[in-house]
Amino acid sequence: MVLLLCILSFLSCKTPHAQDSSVVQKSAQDSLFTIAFGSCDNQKIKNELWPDIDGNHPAVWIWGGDNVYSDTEDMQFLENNYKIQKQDSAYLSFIKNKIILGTWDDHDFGANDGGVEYPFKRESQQLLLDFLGTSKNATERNRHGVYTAKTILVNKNRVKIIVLDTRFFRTKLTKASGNKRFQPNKYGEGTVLGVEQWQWLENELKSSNAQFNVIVSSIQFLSNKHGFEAWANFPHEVEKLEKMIVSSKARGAFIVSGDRHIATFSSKNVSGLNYPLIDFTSSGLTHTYTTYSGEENPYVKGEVVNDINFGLLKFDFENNKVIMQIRGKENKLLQEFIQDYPRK
Amino acid sequence: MSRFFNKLNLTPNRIVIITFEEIFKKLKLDFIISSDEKNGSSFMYFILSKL
Repeated sequence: MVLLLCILSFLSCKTPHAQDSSVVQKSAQDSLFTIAFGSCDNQKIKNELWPDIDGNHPAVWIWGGDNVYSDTEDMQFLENNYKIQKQDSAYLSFIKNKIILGTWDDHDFGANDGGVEYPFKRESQQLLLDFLGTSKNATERNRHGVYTAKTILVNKNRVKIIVLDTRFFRTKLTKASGNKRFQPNKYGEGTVLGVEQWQWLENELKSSNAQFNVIVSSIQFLSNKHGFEAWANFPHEVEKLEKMIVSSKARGAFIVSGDRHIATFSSKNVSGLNYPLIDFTSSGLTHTYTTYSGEENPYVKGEVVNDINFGLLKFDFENNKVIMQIRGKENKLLQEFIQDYPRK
Repeated sequence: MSRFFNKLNLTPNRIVIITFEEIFKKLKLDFIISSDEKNGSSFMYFILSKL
């Protein structure tokens, strides 16, 4: 009882007392709970976006993969590249008082377009977790893959962030014969997430009591015609995740992704889901696909952005909607997509 | 209360941290963010705990 009183008195305080408490000032104009994310940050190029991202006062930053560029089997080289990233004073200033989460993509995993076959994935996993500041006794340290889930209580509202690992277990891709890099596997062949992670994901979705469920995938989930890395190279796994989102009854689920050096919104009506499934891609933080001249994406919404960018998720709990924004240099709003979600 | 803490050889802060972990586990929470709006002109939030 005494312990409970201690907790209740702490929770009711309006000023932080515990050593690990943090305080961040937010502006009145922008009081929605905000999560920022981004991907593709080459440590050799100065990331000029940190102050702009910080200006939006996100409580959470999600690294979407390619957090450094280190195609290598030399773990010292990879570690040094993470050190370069962590020595960026603007980044160090940015991460103060923020929850930092993330996953990897191929270039920080260690092999371009690499997957299950990469021999140093276990060593690389520990280096990513070091970079993210994951504690030494965290579950993520002692299992295969960097997948994780965190639930955040924002006053009375919950947001669950489910971070996937699309590298550790991913089957080798099938090279395309034409002018595309890869072609989809035959239906049923290969995996993106692997058996263990699929089971974990199903449990995380089913057990979620959050109003919104943000699923983080380093590679694009919906866009399926470009021939680069995407879930579309494993069509049965796309179907599996769509069905899992439906059957789990997880509320307000959507995907954020990276990898492509472009930013875009994709939206798909999924059978059995009473809202459109959004895949919000934001890439890259330091460099982009400047020669991008268009590509087929049956699900695209709005204009594709190929300037450096970051993504913002602003949660309107009262109206059950998420304002998704692609922003760039000087915090310029490049594209916006607002998704309303059903109450139940 | 101090006798209680002394008996367990724990500081009050230590007690709070232990119980937070247990409560977070039961509530299936990893972070709590509490906001406090002041006259509509400012907004502050506190990350109360990080596990």
